[in-house]
Amino acid sequence: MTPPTGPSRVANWALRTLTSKADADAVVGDVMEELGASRWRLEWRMCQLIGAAAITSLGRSMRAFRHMARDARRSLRRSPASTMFILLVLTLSIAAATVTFSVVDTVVLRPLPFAADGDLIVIESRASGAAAVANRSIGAYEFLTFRERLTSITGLAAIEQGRFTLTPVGESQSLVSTRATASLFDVLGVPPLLGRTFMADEEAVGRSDVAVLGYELWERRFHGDPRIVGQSVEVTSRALMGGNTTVRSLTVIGVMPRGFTSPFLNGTPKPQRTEIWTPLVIPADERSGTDRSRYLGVVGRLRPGTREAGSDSELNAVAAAVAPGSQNSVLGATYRFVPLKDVVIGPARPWMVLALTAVALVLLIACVNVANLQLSRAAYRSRELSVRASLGATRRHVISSLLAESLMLSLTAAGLAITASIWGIEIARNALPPGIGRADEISLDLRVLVAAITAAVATGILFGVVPAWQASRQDLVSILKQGSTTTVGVGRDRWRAVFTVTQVTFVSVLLVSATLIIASFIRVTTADLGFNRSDLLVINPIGVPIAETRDMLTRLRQLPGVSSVSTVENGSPPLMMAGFGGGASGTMVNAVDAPPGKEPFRVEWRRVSPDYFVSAGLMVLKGHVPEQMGDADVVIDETTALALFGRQDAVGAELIGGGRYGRRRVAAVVKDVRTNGPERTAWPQTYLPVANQAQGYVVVRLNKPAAAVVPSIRLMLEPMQPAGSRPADIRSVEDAFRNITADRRFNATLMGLFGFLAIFIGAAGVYGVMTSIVAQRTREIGVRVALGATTTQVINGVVGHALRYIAIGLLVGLPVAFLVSRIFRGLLFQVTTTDWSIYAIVAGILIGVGFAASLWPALRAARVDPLIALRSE
Amino acid sequence: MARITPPTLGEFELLVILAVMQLGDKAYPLAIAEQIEAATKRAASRPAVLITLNRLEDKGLLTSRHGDPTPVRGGRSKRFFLPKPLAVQAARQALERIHTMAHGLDLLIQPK
Repeated sequence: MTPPTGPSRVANWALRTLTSKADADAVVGDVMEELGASRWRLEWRMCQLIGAAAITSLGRSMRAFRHMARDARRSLRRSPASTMFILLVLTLSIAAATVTFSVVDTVVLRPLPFAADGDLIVIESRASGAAAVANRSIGAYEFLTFRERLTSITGLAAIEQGRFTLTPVGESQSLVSTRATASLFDVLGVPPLLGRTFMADEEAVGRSDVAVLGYELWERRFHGDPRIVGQSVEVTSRALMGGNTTVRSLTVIGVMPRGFTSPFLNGTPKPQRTEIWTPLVIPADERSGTDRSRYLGVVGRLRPGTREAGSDSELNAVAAAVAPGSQNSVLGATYRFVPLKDVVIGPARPWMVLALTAVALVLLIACVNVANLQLSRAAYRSRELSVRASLGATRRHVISSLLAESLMLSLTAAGLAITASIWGIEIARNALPPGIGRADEISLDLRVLVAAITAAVATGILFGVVPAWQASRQDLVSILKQGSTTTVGVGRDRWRAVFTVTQVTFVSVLLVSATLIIASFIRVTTADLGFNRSDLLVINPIGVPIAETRDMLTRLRQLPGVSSVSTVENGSPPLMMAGFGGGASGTMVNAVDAPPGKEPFRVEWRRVSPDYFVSAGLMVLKGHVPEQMGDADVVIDETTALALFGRQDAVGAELIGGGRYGRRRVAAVVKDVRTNGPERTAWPQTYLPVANQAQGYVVVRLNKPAAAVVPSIRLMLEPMQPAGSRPADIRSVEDAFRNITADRRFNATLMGLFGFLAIFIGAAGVYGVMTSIVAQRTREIGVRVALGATTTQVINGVVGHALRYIAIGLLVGLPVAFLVSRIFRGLLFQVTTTDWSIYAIVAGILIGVGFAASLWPALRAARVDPLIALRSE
Repeated sequence: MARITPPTLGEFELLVILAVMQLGDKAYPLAIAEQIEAATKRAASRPAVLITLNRLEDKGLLTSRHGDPTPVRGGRSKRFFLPKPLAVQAARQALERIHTMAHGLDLLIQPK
């Protein structure tokens, strides 16, 4: 008789993975007994039985999970204080990680909402010289030539933002508008949701009254009406410089999809989502190159396979051919393609990476801390675990049960943290510094949720695995025989020491990083800008006729709270360029009697009224500024004086500059002004007398708080402005400074918060460990007291124990912190990573915190009554 | 000491327990399925019998042991199921419920 052949090896294997070997064999035996001869029926029956075994196995797993969850819940309820504390620590750290990740993910990690965003580039020019800053504005003539001649790109689009405002007729709020060439949407690779985008022939006067709407505007104003295409929208168009106002009727030709916005390229302080696009009409004099105003942002798409370096050389060759003699050419500017993503994300990337690293460190500190607490809890539960073991629980059961507790804690904390993150993200979105791209898109989405839950599960396993493994390793039967409620154990003691030292190490790394960032911020805010930025207002008197400027200034001077008034033309007041937008004219100057071969010197120039130096609090170092500056007078800063005249007295000397600058006599030398803020270099400054030909800014020095004076200034200016004009733009220079330093302020606050959180968790960890040590060694302390140990000796013993952990943690942590801080040293300002005082401060803080955290357990140890302690065991 | 209440049985669970009781020490899944089919004249799915037996064992109503290997089964042993006292109680309780519900309906539901 042929022995019956069994089912396939795969079926056997599947069954054995789902049930025990003996049970699987019995099932296979039943099948063979019933269907031994029929191969295919046998295999089919095996499939059915594997399904049955899977259902049984799943049901058993679910029941086991329910039991574990129930046991974990009961166990956690038994020590509510410790459970609440662990939940607090985990919730805070997971919430901090969730909020930080949501910000970093949206701003840095996600691709831009354009097709193949890696090929998109921006054209940037950079003049030679120390104070050169990247300039991403180019002239229309350059743009047209680049578009025509560059072979390394497949498309180039120009966009222009901020020179015109579009306001729906009858409304006061302007729309966020962008004027763009028809190629923009093709270059970005985003088709419209409805209708079409611009055609090339609509970039002409008379044909340009068309508009493409952003999704949000379409939803908000037109309630998502799909029939909007073809309808007209009446808007008031106003040019910001010159103030010309026209009413235009724009025909809506298309609507862009949700989330689409064209990139802001010109360093707009607060990028906003574009609500409406209109065609960019390039005037004839700009097309011909007669007018070379540089105000266009340019975005293009690199031809696939084109290397950026090679394309840069083509770009520079074309630029040199088109613009001989232009300002950029004179300044030796070089052009390059910059990835659009770098422009949009820009300087935020290193800050974001730092924040994410810091919060990961906070999460690790929390993990180590909770692991330590769980280790102490497990010590108290030795008897319970040994009872379980004696009733048949295997080591796997004990580990699973303790891991279930950890996971339950971390998942509960994740639930709380996700709820807290809803508010946290809202706060973070509003607190983010201006200039961060895509900040309005930050939200608690699926990616963030998955990240939060993954972090929670990883956290639960991380802090649960060592205590569970340790607890399962004990000789549970001997513990049961001893009858003691708690055990210490050499292994557990070692782990506790390792955890505490690791915690102190992580905390010291985070604290050193936070202190360096905070110290940099303090240095930035206290840096000398060369002028007095407090109590200083800058007014853009929109619409006030130039003829009434003198009258306006006189009336301003008479207002209570105003101590000095002056004007600036042809440029922005100090910090305005960096804080609010604006600019200055640049030119090359040289001393009239300069020796042959002396290179001309690049300076910026503004036209200012004589009171300007008093208003701005700008110190005059040499000479004096006459009450009526002559047309040929100039005031220069000390860098210019040194560069042009060396050690000779610059006052009375003459210099000569290009174009309208001409030949001038130095009336005074003033202090250097850091017009771009403390962290960015600025060109040297020269000041020419006002010409009263252009509308300028008014600079007002106050002797009363701005809040008290601004309303009266507005009241005074309102009748002088034309009817329907926007209110005058009144801003404090202190606000401009806050704008410049906003990213530092935000990051210093964030690092401060993380540092505080780390100290809190670390201190709680030290406290918890010392309390647990004291509780477990009550008997030992009792014996010592009985043998004559004094209260001071007992306290010293406990505090010394804690400080030993701190000292070892610092010994490891501070060198690690030094190495870590070198990675982000580019973010530091006037603080070096070798500044020993930073490390001393951190060591001082940690020793102080360690001392304070161990003092209470030490006092408890000192109160141990030897009789009670010895009797309690 | 608290008395353990027997769990409520479903119809198929009751059939399986009754089959186990009838088969005595020869109750293994294949025999149980055939016993149910013979007694009720309806098909008893083998996977359903296996799932039910495992569930009843998990509920503490049945216990199982492995017998000796036999050549006809490819040298594999049988898994015999035995009822625990709780299973007898549970079966009794389930049958009482059916009788109570059927009380007074003899004329209507009496088998012809």
